[in-house]
Amino acid sequence: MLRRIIFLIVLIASILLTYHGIKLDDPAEVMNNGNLLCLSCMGIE
Amino acid sequence: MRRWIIQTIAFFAGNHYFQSIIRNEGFYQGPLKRFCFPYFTCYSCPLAVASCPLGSIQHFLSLQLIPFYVIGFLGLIGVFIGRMVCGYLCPIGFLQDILYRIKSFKFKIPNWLANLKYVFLFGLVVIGAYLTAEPAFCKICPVGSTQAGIPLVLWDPFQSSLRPLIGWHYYFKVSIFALFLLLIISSRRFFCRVMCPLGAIYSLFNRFSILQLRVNKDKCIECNSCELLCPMGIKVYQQPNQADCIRCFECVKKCPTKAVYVGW
Repeated sequence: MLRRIIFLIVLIASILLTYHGIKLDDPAEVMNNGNLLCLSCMGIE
Repeated sequence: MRRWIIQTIAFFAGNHYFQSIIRNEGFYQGPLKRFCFPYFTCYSCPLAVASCPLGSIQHFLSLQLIPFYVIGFLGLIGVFIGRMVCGYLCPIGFLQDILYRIKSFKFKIPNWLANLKYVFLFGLVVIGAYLTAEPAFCKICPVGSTQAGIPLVLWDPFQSSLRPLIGWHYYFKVSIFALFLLLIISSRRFFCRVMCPLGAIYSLFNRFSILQLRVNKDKCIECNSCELLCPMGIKVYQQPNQADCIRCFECVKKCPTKAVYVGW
C-alpha cells in the first residue's frame, strides 16, 4: 500500500515538474545546449 | 524479443543521423535536441539526434537554474520501469554486455563500490556543475570520449579546427577511456554499477516503480543461480527490487524453479 502511495506521489510530482519545465521553456534551453558541441565531453578546452 | 535486439533498436532509434557523416556536417543540430534521451548517450556524438539528460542537468545547474523538465522526464520513466532503461535501452549497457564476452581476466566488484555512483551523481553532476558553472562530470565522462571525443578528433569534420585544440585534458580523457574499456571487459557492467550517475538516478525509483520483480518463496530453493546470472551480482531471492537491479530479467528467464517473476 505504501509503495502505491509513494508511486502516485512521485508520478504526480514528475508530471508537474515536466509541465512546469515546459512552461518555463526548458526544452528550448535543452536544445540550445544540445546544438553546441560539448567540448568538455570531448576533452577539448 | 531477445534483449540484444531491443538494445540494437534503441541504439539506432537515438543515433541514426548518418547525414552527419555523408555530408561531413559534424553532428546533428535541430529541433529534436529539445528532447532528452532516456539513456546515457553523448549529444555531441555525430549520430545522436537528442540531448544527453546528464549534460542537460549540468547545463541548467551551471546556469544556477533547476532542470524541472529533465528531472520530471526522468521521474516519469523511473516511476514506471525503474532501472529497466539500463537493461534494455542504454547503448553503454549494451556495449558492456558485448565487451564482457571477451575472454580475459575477470573480477567481482565489491558491493560497497556500487555506492560510488551516488558520489558521481551528487558530487560532480549536481554540486560540481553548480559550483564550477561547468559540466563537471562531462570532464571525466568516458561516454563522451567513446561517442564524441575520439571519433570527432579522428574524423575532424570541422576543417581541422579540433586537432590543434587537443591538450592534456584530451589525453586524460583518452586514459580514462582506456581504463573504462579495461574495467568493462574484466568486470560485468562495471560502469553501470560503479560510475553511472543516470543509473544512480533511476536506482532511486526501483523500490516503488510499477514494474517489480517478485519471488515465490514456496518455489525458491535458494540455489543462488539468480545471483550468478545477475549482471549486477544481486541476490534476487533476498532483495528482488534492490536499487542496482537493471531489470534485464535474466533471473526470471533462467530460474530453475521459476520462482522469480515479473509483478506490478
